[in-house]
Amino acid sequence: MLLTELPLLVLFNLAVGVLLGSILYRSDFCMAGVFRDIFLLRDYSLFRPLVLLVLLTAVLFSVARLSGLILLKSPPVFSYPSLATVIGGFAFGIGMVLAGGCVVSTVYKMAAGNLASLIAFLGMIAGSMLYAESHPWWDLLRTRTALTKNKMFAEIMPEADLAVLVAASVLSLALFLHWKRRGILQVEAYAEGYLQPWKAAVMIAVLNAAVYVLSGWPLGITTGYAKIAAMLENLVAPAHVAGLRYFNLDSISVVLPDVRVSGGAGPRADIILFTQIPLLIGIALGAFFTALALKEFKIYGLPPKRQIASALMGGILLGLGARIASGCNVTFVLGGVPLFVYQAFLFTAAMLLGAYAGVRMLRRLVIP
Amino acid sequence: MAEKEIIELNILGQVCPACLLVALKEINTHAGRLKRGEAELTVKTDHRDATRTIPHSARAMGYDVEVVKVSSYYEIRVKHPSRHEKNR
Repeated sequence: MLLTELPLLVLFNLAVGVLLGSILYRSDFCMAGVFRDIFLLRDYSLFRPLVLLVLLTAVLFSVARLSGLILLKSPPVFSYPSLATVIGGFAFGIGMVLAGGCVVSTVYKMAAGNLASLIAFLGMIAGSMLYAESHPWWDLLRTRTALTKNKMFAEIMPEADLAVLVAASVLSLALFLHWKRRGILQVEAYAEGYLQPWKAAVMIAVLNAAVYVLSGWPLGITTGYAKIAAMLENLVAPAHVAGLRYFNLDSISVVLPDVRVSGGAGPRADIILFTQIPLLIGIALGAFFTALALKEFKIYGLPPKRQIASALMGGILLGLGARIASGCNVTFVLGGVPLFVYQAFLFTAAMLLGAYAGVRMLRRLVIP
Repeated sequence: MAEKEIIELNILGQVCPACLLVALKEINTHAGRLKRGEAELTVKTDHRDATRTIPHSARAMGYDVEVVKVSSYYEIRVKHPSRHEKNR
């Protein structure tokens, strides 16, 4: 069921992006917010929808895999876990809190006119550039500290998909009904056009499943950021860009029945350009038009200096962390965890620790 | 009735968890006057999620909260519940 015609692939990813941008803007379903609320307020209102999202994704992914809709049972966006996964995840967690958002929420907030998010976005591009410069060291670390050669549970247990389908279906239904009965599924909110996070969770799970089926592998965007960084840097220092190993290698390389698909962060036209870039643009457009429709698009000016520094530093850590770990919260939490990818669990744990550290830093340094 | 002072906190365009922390700090700074009903705090924010978290926290602290959309942003009004209004 994989889309092999490029124009269709681009349009599909753009459409998914637009829908996501709108859904996320209206529901404020930001992963940084989920953990911020837990650490700062002991509030789990957004965590519950996230749990549902992950479980539902696991159900849909396993159905797709069992019914032969999935071409790539071992998605090329995932690899074996290593120390780099931990370091990257930790840095990502800190960055997420300092920047005031994760890699996706930065885009939808920026699209609504928030300058702090724009600064964080620029920071992410810079972080990707920093990664490109230091790639050889991280690559060495990755290979030297590989924790296991396998990348996902399904590799060692052939009935994994069925087991996941049953377990996730039961759990998600049970939790959904339990939380509904306790009246804690709905969130009290006043923003205009608010979309309840649990509904957003269902929509995002469906979209991610559609992406896995039609676009080859689950949602991911940080290689796209690195590619944007490469393209920008290429405008001013093409010789330097051409000399960087990271911009020359393929982070994805798969052999399909009739064609070989590959792509990476370099400033070239490849599968990343035709999937992640349209997705990013779509998210921005979706959020922008939704904000416009709600009459909420407005540029208010720069925040206090400490917040500018926090947003920039946070963005750099997000960009750098994501590349070190070879993935971000979207790829790992929303795509890897449902597939029982080891990297994903490691990243998520490290990200949580980083978020906790980030909150401590924020309280001490950013809020005067 | 005495004139209520409206204290304004403008956090338009600010970064995520900072919004909440700054707002809570401001509420605590004026806690006395807010609780005695002498003042009302109006937080101006464009952060949609803040319109969920600030009222939630302020209510947990015992205040009455009203959220109003003003042109392109939101005003979160924090006040002490009047003794005559036992609304829930």
